[in-house]
Amino acid sequence: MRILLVEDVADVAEAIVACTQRMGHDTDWESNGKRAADRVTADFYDLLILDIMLPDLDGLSLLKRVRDRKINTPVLMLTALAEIEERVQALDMGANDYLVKPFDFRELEARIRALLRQAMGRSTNVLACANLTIDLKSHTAQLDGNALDLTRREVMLLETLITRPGRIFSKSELIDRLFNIDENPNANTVEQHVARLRKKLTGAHFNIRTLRGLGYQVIVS
Amino acid sequence: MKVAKNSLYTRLVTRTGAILVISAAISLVAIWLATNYAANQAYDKILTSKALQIAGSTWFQNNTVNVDVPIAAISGLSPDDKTFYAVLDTNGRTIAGDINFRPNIPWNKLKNGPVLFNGTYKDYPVRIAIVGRRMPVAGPHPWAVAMLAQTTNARLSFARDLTADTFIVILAMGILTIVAAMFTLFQALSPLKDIEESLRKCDPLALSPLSLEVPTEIRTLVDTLNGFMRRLAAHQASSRRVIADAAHQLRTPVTALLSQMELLSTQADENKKRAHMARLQALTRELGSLVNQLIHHAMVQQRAQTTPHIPTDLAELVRTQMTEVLSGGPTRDIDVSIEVPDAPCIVDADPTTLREAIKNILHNALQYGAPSLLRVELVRRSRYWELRFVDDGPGIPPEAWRLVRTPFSTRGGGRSGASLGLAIAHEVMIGHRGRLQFAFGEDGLFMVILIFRARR
Repeated sequence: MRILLVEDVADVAEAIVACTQRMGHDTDWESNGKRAADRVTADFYDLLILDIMLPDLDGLSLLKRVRDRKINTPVLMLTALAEIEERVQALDMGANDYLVKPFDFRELEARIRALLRQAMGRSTNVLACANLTIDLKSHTAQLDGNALDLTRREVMLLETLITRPGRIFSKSELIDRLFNIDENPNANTVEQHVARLRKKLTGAHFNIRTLRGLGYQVIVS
Repeated sequence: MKVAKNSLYTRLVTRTGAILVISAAISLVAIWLATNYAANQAYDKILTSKALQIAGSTWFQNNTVNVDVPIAAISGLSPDDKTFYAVLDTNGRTIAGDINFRPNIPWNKLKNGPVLFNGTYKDYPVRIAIVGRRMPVAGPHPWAVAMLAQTTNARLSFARDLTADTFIVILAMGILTIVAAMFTLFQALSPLKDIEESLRKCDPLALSPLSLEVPTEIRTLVDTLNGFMRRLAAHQASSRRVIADAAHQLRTPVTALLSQMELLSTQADENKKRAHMARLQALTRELGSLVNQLIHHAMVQQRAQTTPHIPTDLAELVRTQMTEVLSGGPTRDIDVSIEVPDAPCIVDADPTTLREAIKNILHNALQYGAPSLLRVELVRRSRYWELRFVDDGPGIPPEAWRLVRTPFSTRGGGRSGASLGLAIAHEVMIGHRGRLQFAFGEDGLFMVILIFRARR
């Protein structure tokens, strides 16, 4: 997959480029915000990694320009700014995730993987998590190559949860994604779906954890 | 600092001076009017008596009016003034004195006694006294008329002299008053000078309170100054401590880093090289988290003094923060739960620092405790909200409860970092006028408790 890294500190950039190349991606490096803005004109890249402090055009303005051009490429922001508000601001402006400097490269890898998963799913129509794969076109799931007997809604639920393993999805968030208002869904409906899904996923190398009062999260074992 | 155009001293002096000048002017005018009146009264009396004397020296004989003017009396009137006189008989003819001196005679007033009025004669402003003496004749005017006029030099100079004398007295008094006022003002303002002087003299590093003897009026000013100095001193002391601690906390791991790198560069054995590399990675990671903690610590301290509190839903805040910390958190099998009331739990808070405190407690629990259980509860206790973080780890031993609230008090036990997490939480709670407590529950589970005042 193609990644554009916009980072002005050469030491950091070098390491990130090496890291993403190890992961098997093509990475372009740009150190100037303005030149980076000129490069992102279409959906050419699958992921943008933007630093906030950049020469000529800062990362937040760059992000704004990208989103103003209706380019929906996932964006991972890197920030050294202390104020939490700044991070939140970046998320409000359409960043998909952020990482505070100094960061761990294992963490960076995990975030990149999570963000690319969606893009990857879009291009190959296959979403994978541990030994599970979901065909996004036919809405079917396979565990170790064996087809699972899942309802359409269970596939949607699984799809949502495994796009971002580790992320907590609240019940209300899941209700919004799986049901429309006419179906009169409630928290119990979600619980029932998750319980049934768990039963059908015996043998999967991940589990769906319940965090009471918070929601659900996929933990890869 | 804004500086007013005039000093306090100049302003006070000019205002006092202006008041004095205005009151002196008013007194002068009043004195001028009063002395004028008094001089007129006195001179009129003399003029009238002389006119009466002239009238008294007329007599009627052989159907004619005769007069024997007492010249001596008239000439002794005033050395500076010119005097004119004339006596008319009942037919209005001048029988003595200046033939041209014929002022308008108010005939009908003559019977009431002497008449006095101002007039002009030979271009001199004069005061005229007219006295009539009834003569035994028939006709419209049975009067022998004595007319005496005198220029007004003497009475004017009398009034002028008197006013000038008074003016000198007033001027002298005024100058004395201004000098006295200036001196008093100078004295009244001198404590300010003393404060200024002792502030200038005092050591900028000492910040000791001023020990000056000052009048009660500026006691509060000095007290306020001293309060400010105390706060500044406390602030200085704390920042000095933080800098010292930070220096130590940062230099130590950097030295460790350099040492490991030194070892690495001289190491030939591949296995040992790998060990040094691993150590380098770990050290750098620790340094990163330490820097983060130091930044957060500084931010919390700065915001505590500058950021106003806003009504905040504690339940929502803790839920969001838990979601953030636990997303991508530990993969071990922990039973995580949160129990908060359905209704909003509003407290006055700075959400930014509060999030930081909660995040630190959760990180601590997940890193050092909570092998299999983490429970967060928010309960109401009369006027307070209690936010409890319960886990099944070993917890913090009671003897360390005080220590963990102090920044940089390393507790050992293989812990990395500056032990700032709970110290930050403690400072945040102080900033919220709440408390950070530790406890072991009846079931033996360890609890970190945050106590907030509920918003009424």
